[in-house]
Amino acid sequence: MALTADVVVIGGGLAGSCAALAAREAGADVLLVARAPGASAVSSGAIDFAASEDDESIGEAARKLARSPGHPYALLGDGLVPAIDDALALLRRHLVALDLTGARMAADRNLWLPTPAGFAKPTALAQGAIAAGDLRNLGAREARVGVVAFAGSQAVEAGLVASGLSRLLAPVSSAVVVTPDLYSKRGDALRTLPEIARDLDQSGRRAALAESLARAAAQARATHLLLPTLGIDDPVAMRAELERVVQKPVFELLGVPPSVPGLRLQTALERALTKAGVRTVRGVAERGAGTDVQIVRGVECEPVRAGAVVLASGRFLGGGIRCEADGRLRETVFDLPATAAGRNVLTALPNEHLFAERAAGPHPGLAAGVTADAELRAGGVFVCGAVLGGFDPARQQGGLGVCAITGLVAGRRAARSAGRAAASAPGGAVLQ
Amino acid sequence: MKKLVALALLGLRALFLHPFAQLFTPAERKGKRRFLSNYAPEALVPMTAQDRAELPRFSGCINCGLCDAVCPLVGRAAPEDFRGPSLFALAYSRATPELPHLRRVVSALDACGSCHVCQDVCPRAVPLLEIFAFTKRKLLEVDAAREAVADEPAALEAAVPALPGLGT
Repeated sequence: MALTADVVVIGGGLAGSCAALAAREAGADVLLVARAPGASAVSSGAIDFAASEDDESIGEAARKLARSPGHPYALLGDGLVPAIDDALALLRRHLVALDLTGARMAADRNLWLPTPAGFAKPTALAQGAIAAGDLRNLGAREARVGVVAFAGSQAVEAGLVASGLSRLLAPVSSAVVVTPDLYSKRGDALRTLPEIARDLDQSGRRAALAESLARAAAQARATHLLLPTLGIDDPVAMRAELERVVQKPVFELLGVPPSVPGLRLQTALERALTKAGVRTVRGVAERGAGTDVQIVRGVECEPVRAGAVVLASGRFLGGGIRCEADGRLRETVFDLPATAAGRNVLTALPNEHLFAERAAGPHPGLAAGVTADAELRAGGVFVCGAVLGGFDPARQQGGLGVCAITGLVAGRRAARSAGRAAASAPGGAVLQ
Repeated sequence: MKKLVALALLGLRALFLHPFAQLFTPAERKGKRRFLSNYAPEALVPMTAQDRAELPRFSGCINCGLCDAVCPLVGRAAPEDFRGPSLFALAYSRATPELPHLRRVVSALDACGSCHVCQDVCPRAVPLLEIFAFTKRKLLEVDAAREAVADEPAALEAAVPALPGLGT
């Protein structure tokens, strides 16, 4: 027996989840196929649509990005700014557990959040404890931010963050390193942040940290505390508990892989999908006979009949795009044409580039992917997220934003297309 | 003149002394067998053609840390004993000489109930469970190879008195 659904979404990261939620809200019956969490789970957890300069709004910055050639934002035309509004609303509606804070619509401004490398990242939305560390607020009044070092753990360079923050907050505010006597043993040196976060989920450990932080913060005369991580499960409650004991505002740092905020984002997305009534199947999606999809799990193989298909399989990390040994680029599910800078082949960089002191410039491979039309379609399926080429999230920023916006638009269009297909072929439609 | 003497001595050694010494050297101390017996103490064991075919599949790890974040064993053992599945894919399955030093790490896998979560969560579909099995098997092979040569050298030394200056 074949599985059937109005809309089948391939990929369970932010793009696939937004597509599934949007299609579900449009009334479609949705099936989501995911092999593994993919890149959203290792992201910083910050949902940024476009890096802004000065006092630019998010919408203005996004319209600038849309002018760079081949960027997915360009495909949306005038629909870009309304799509940002809708994406922000969709995320806030479905990810309540994350306490997302920041912009409410495209006319709002970005938050400026401290990164683990000591820079400021402009971002539209972040999880509550992270968003509270908005540098615009901190820079405006006299603050002495205590960057908490888990001294034994190599996971975060507190000194680097503190020197970066001092530069960013000068001349009004400054930053110092605060070293609590927790996670300072030799064995702690190997701990990763997810391990520490999981450890902090136990109430005894939380209390121990709060006490030792109170002492260390007083000693360093810090007015605010910036922690590398709070617990995974309930950062909101943990932050409140710490603030009660320490008597100072407590913030959390953005993540780097392995990223605690990324893991929280993935968990919240999966819960939101279940709550919204999206059926989720674990397995590898493949092109089936004709134009259908099939789900492969080990030796089992299940055909799926879909009204419309949304491809949200990610780029290299998610496994949606592969670069073969000969340099040829391949889209892995439907074998859609994949390109980088207009070519199907990635050529190796000359050695002098690899050993140059400074990066030579943007690498075409980092923006590799499928090219879609203005309907976000390619080869009969709707395409969204990082599997779409034309943008380099590391250089241009806005990686998760592109996923949220294109996911939302692709999901809605897929629902509409499936509705039309069902109306014209009541016996059950296959994708065209 | 000095050069000529040196050349003559080298020639003497290569053409006469070395072949002469070889005549009295037992088979275990020369040729391929001696070559191979040097590998085992350094924990270098043969890679079969099948092992070689599997290694590219094992090497897909991108160090994203998702498996370590979901593995229920992490945090149960001391971090220096078991930091999570990713290190097996990143390092431990690569070089057998490291394995004897990683005995505690490998034995931490005995508590792994093959819950699959690490493998299911991997964005690159790295076959972690196969890597665990591979690493355990290689450690056993290393131990067996080292045990086999452990008693041999003593016996060999006793049978053949060293011939100083006549390196074989």
